[in-house]
Formats: sequence, structure tokens, C-alpha cells
Amino acid sequence: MVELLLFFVIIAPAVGVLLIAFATHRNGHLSSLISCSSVGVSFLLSLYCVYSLLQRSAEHRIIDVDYFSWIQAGSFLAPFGLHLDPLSAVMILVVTGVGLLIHIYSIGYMHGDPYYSRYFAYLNLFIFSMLILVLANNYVLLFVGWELVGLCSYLLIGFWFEKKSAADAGKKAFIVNRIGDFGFLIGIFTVFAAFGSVTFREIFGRTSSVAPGLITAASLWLFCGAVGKSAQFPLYVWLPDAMEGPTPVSALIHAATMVTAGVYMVARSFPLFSQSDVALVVVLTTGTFTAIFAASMALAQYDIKRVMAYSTVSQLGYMFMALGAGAFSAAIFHLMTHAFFKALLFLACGSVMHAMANETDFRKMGGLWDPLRKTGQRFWIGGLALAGIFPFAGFWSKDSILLGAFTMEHGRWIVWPIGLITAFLTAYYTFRVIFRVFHAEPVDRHSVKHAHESPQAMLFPLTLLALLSIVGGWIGTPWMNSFGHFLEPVFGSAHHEISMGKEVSLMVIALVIAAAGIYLAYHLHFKKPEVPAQLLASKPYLARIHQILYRKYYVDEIYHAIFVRPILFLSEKLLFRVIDVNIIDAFVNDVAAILKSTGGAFRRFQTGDARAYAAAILIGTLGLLMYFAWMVR
Amino acid sequence: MIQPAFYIILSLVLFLIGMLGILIRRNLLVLFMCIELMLNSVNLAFITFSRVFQNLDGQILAFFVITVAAAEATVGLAIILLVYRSRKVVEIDELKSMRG
Amino acid sequence: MELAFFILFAVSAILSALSVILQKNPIYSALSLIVVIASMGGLFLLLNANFIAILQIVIYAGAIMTLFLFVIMMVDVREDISPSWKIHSKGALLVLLLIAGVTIWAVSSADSQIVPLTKDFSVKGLARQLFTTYVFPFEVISILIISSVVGALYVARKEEA
Repeated sequence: MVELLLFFVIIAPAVGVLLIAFATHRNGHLSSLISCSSVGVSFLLSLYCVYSLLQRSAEHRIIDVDYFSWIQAGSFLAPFGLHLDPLSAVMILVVTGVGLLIHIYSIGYMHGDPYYSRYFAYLNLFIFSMLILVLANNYVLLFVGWELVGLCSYLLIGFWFEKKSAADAGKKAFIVNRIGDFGFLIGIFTVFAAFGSVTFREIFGRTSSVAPGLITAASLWLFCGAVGKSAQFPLYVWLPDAMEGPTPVSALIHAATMVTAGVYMVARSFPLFSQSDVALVVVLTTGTFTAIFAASMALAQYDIKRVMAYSTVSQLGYMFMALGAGAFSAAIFHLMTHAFFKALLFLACGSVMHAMANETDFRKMGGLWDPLRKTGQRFWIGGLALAGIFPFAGFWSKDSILLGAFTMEHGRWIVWPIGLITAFLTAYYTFRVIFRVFHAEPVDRHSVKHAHESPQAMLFPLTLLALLSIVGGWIGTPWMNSFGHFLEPVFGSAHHEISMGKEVSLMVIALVIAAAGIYLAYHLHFKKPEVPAQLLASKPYLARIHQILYRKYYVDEIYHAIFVRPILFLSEKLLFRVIDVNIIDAFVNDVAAILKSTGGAFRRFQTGDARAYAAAILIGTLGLLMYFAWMVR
Repeated sequence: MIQPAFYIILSLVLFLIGMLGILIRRNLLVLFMCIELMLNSVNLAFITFSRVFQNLDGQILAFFVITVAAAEATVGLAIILLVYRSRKVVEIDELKSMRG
Repeated sequence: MELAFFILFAVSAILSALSVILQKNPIYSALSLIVVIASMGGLFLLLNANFIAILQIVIYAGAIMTLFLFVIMMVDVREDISPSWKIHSKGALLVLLLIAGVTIWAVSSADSQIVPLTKDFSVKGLARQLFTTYVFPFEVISILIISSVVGALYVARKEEA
């Protein structure tokens, strides 16, 4: 029974896409209705499946079923099979639950858009793809979902494709992703070469019988894919540009679900990664570096969506930091809470943009607290959660990550301080936005007067997400870690030989640092808002640093110079001019020219003069004669 | 003693004269006559070999050649008449509409 | 004795053949051709091909050349159509010489003789061969002749005005 319903969890959104594409695309209302209903069905079915999972005892919480044989070639078998265990249970609930809320929000946000139906079709397609990704029971099917979400990301980022920057952003996302996917594919090949199979149940039990070098290699290649999909350094550059897409898309895909696919994949490959210290170190380093690197860039951005984008990159870095430190369930915990409060923050940004005629630069805002009180309240809740303030969700999840970093055997005094500094920066840049948007003196009084609160369709998801951002962390407190226990069958039990006293003091330190960040933002952007400008003007080195951060360390420019320009140059000057025009076209044209000239030459034989023909026959006769004479000599 | 070679060479000479005539003359009728000349020379060769190898097949073949020459002359002359009717002259240079 | 007849017939054949291709008036060409045919008939007699010789005179000279003469007279031939010595490339002449050379070379290396007859070269013998071994081509030939008659009649019929 559960097996069947599990299949329908995936199929419901697919049906939605097909219905919208073929039947209701002219009717926007119907399309959005179908879209939300299909995700709703998916969510309810997911609830039921997880519920039936919980009915079983902890050791038996695995449902792994092959529906049909998809690819079969010799000894290679990639079935279409789904795998439900605590890890994927968390994922499907997050995907369908947050997805449903965002669908509802989109009804209000995308109202009036000429391509309303297409949007909802794409959203459904995305949910379908993401569910395949998290429920697949083998790497090949996972990769199918992986690529499909990449496609949906492209389609949705470039949703307003008539705008060149949006179309370019879509391309950039897909191409950068593809680079990571190349590594991912090699990883899948390595896995197959090492284990002779790609299905999880056949791989994960046998990791001890395979050479460690192979496991490390496979893990590292698989991690490449995660770097691309989850926007880690150096493949993060597509995520800020992806803000060109509609805000609900940013919330769903680039905060809550798609970018977490990399984290999920590494978590799913726990049996592989945990056997390879090298891979874990690589993951740890990448995550830690990305976390602080992205947070630094967020400090200097003025576009509220951009700030949130870099924040997402940074928080994903936290998740990889946790994975690399061995705290796998902490990473998933943060994935879940981050989905709640980041989606909340993005949707709240959308609310603000909706009120300010799609303005995103907060230098043109201010004083929006009064007209947009409800949005502002929810924004505050999201901000507090992101900054990691007690008792909001982010506090608990970030804390479990920092705990995991602190209890590492090696390198804890590098990683843990970086984690703290990043927390400080996170709190600062988040509240910089909040104070500037809502509480500072309004820059543009006219628009502020006309700002109006969002409709209920948009506010309701905000309210729900705010609620989740408050209570969502309470299932993972150190004293009653039901979340961690739930995930134990997948990751094993977390071993923390640390006293309760030490743990509490760690939490207090983190809290103080976060609060300090908030206070700095309060001071620089509310109490004395003229200070930042003064500082930048008076101290040139500060201005220089600010410029570097604002220009994102010039990474985009560097990539352009190193990769894009040479390839374009090569394509145009070499491949096009030399090879295509001069060689291939010339070859084809020459064939035609040869035929033409040969024909022309032979034409001269057809003189129409019978005597010339007779002469030709004569010559032929001579030839024949000579041949026969030679034969009989 | 008459060698067979004499006859063959005579046949050859007549053949070449006929060929030369084809290359030289423009009048269709004379052309046709040169073709008949060549056929005759070939007949001579056949008969010669028939005599040398004491085999009647050569004579039979010559018989058939004569018959076919008759049929061919019939049809050919009819065509020449048509050419005359349409072009008023019977020169081979008139027949160059197949020029490509 | 035979040699004398051979030389007589051979020379007359060659001279008449040259006359065929060199005369300006096609009537003269036709008449020369008749002489050629007659000479050939003689040569056939020398080679014991009695029946073929008669056939040559009767059919070739009697029927075919008569046909030729009729057509020449029907066609309005102007006498000034002279031979065009612009042969297609002097190379054709070379080719003719080459053909001659090759053939002579081939022939000279043969060593067969004309030995006295042992087989039956009479009309009876010829008829026996014709109606047994070669009866099928014989029948086909008759169809050929009929079809050529019909064809010629149709092709050259009088135009309906």
C-alpha cells in the first residue's frame, strides 16, 4: 500500500504538469488550482507515507521498492526505484510542504503575469523532479532528478526570458551546474567501477570490501556535483544572478530545495564519505571557506534579494561544514530549518517588492514598518531565525553545527572560530537589511505612502513559515534530540563526548556573538545611519575593501577573462572561421565544384556532331583491337 | 599460292577506306554507303575464315549480315527521307540538335 | 591462275571503294559501290562460297543498291557537297594507321594456309547448317525483316496535310 502511495507522491505533480500543459494553459485560475492541488496531494501522501514509516520500529524504517527496470545492459541495472527512509522522509516533507506554501504564495505574487500558467507548470515540474531526486534508490535515477531540477532552474530563472539579463542568468545557472554535473557523472562511473552496481542497497553495505582509494575518488567526484548544484566555491556564481527569476522561485529553488540537493546527496552517500577522511576534509574546507566568503560579500550588497542569495550560499557552506565535520544529522537539521526561514525571508522580500513596485534596492526604501507591519513582523522572525537567536529554529540548528565543529578531532580551532565569525556577519547583514527597509528614515516618501500590504494569499504562507521558523527547531534541542534520533538509522548515533556545561557555554557564546551582530546593525543603520557613509568617505582603505566586497571580489570578471573570453575567441576565430568556413564549407563547396567542372568537361564531348562520335568509336575500336592482339600474342 | 593473309589485309583496307569515308563525307547517303562498304569488308573476313578453318559458320554469319544490312538499309533510308523532308538537305552537319 | 583472279578482283574493289568515298556526285558513289559489291562476289567465289556470292549480287547489288539509287534520286542533292577534309583531328588518320598496323602485325604472325576443301561447301551443306543448327536465328531474321518493312513504311509515309 505504502509502496503504491509513494509512487503517487511523485506522479501527482507530473500529472499536474501534463494537465496544465495540454488542457488548461489558457486558463490561469484553473492552472494554479491544479498546480496547488497536485502538490497538496503530494504533501498529504508524503505525510501518510512518513506516518506509516513511523509506525515501524527504528531498525525497519526503510521502504525500498523497484517499480520497473529502467536501464538494463549486461550486468548494469538502473531500476526506477524509490527509497524511503528517515532521511528522504525529511526531504519529501520539506519539499512538498514548503513547496505547497510557495505555490499558494505564487497565486498572489504572479497575479496578472501573462505567462501565469506556464509558471505553474514549471513549478509542478520542479516538484516532480526534486521528489525523484530525493526518493531515488540509485545514483542514476538520482542523476535524472538532478538534471531535471537543473532544467527547471533554467526555465524558471529565465522565466521572463524576454529580458536579456534573465535569459543570461538562466544560461549561466545551467552551464555552471553542468560543470559540476560532469564531475558527478564521473563519480557515478567510479561507483559503478568500484561496486559493480549503482543502487544504494547494493553499494552501501559493501563499502569495506572496496579499496579506500576508490571510495575517496568516487566521493570526491560526486562532491563536484554538489559544489555545482549547491553553489559552493568555486561554482557559486550562478546563484546571485538567479535572483532574476520570480521571487517565489528564488524562495523555493534557491533557498529551500534545489540547492540543498547537494547536501542531500552527500548525506545520502554517508557510507561512502564517512569511510574517506580525505573526502570529508575537502567537504569541510569547501563548506567552511564558502560560508565566510559568501557572508563577506553579503555585507556590501544593496539589493535585498542579492543579500539573501549570498546568505543562502553561506548557509549552504554551513551545511557542508557540518557534513565535513561528521555531523551529518546536524547538516540535515540545518537544511530543514534553513528551508523554513530562508523561504520566509525570500517571500517576505517578495512582499516588500510587491508593495514597492518591484524595487529591490534598499537604499530606496525605509520607513516601511508602518504600512507593511505584518510583512515586517514576519521578516523579523525570519531574520532572528537566520541570525540564530534563541529560541528560534536557526539557533538550534546552527548550534548543532557549531557543536559538531567544536568536537572534531582535528582543526576545531580553525573551523569553529570561522563558524562564529560567519554567524556574526550573518546577523549583521541580515539586520542591516531589516533596519534599512523597515525602520530607517524613508528615502522615498512618495512610494512609502503608496505601499500597501500584500493580499492574504501571500500573507498566509508567510505566517505559516514564520510559525515553523519559531518552533521548527524544537525537535532538535540537545536535551531532546528527536530529530537526531529519527535520523539515527541512516547516520549512526552522533558521538559527542562533551559535557552539558560545555555545551551550554558554547550556545551562550554563539548567542552573544549573534546578538552583537544585530546590535552593530542597529547602531550603524538605525541609530546613526550616517556613520557608514562617513566611514567610507574618511577612511580610503575601508572604501577600498567595501568596493572589493561590493564587486564580489571580481570573481565574475575573473571567470569571464579566464574561461569565457578564450572560449568565445576560440569558437569564433578558430572553430568558426578556420574550421567551419574554410575547411568544412570549403570541402562541401569543393565537392560541388568538382562535380560541376567534371560535368562541364564531359559536356564538351557532346558536340552533336555525328562524325565526331564516329571518330570516338574509331579510337575505341583501336583500343579494343590492341587489347585482343595482346591477348593472342 | 594465295595466303589467307591477303584476304584479311584486303578486308582491312576496305574497312579503313569505309572508315575514312565516314570521317570525310557530309552527305548522309554517301555516309550510309560507306557503312555498307564496311559491312562488306567484314563479310569478306568471315568468308575467308570460314574457308581457312573449313567451317560453314562463317558463311552462315555472312548470310545473316547481308540480311540485316538489307533491313537496316530499308529503315535507314526511310529516316533519311524524313530528314530531307524536314530540313531540305541531307547533310550530317544539320543533325546537331543533340549538342549538349 | 587463282592469283590472277584475286589480283583482278582485289584491285577493282579497292579502286571502286576509293571512288565511293571520293566522288562528288552520290550517283557515281552508288555505282562505284555496286562495282565493289560485284568484286566481292567474285572474291567469294574464289573462296568456295558459291551461295553467298550469288546472294551478294542478287540482294546487295540488286536490291539494296537499287533502293539507294531510288532514294538518291528522290532526294534533291546538290552537287557541291564536297568532301570535308576537316577530319576530326588529324589524329583520326593516325588511328587508322594504327589499326592497320595492329591488324597486319596480328595477321602476319598467323601461319594458316588455304588447304584443299574436305567439307561440304555446297548449297546443300549450307542449307543443312542453316536449317538445323541455326534455325532459330533464321526465324528471328524473318521477323526482323518484316518489322523493318513495316517500320520503314510507317516512318516514311506521306504526311496528312
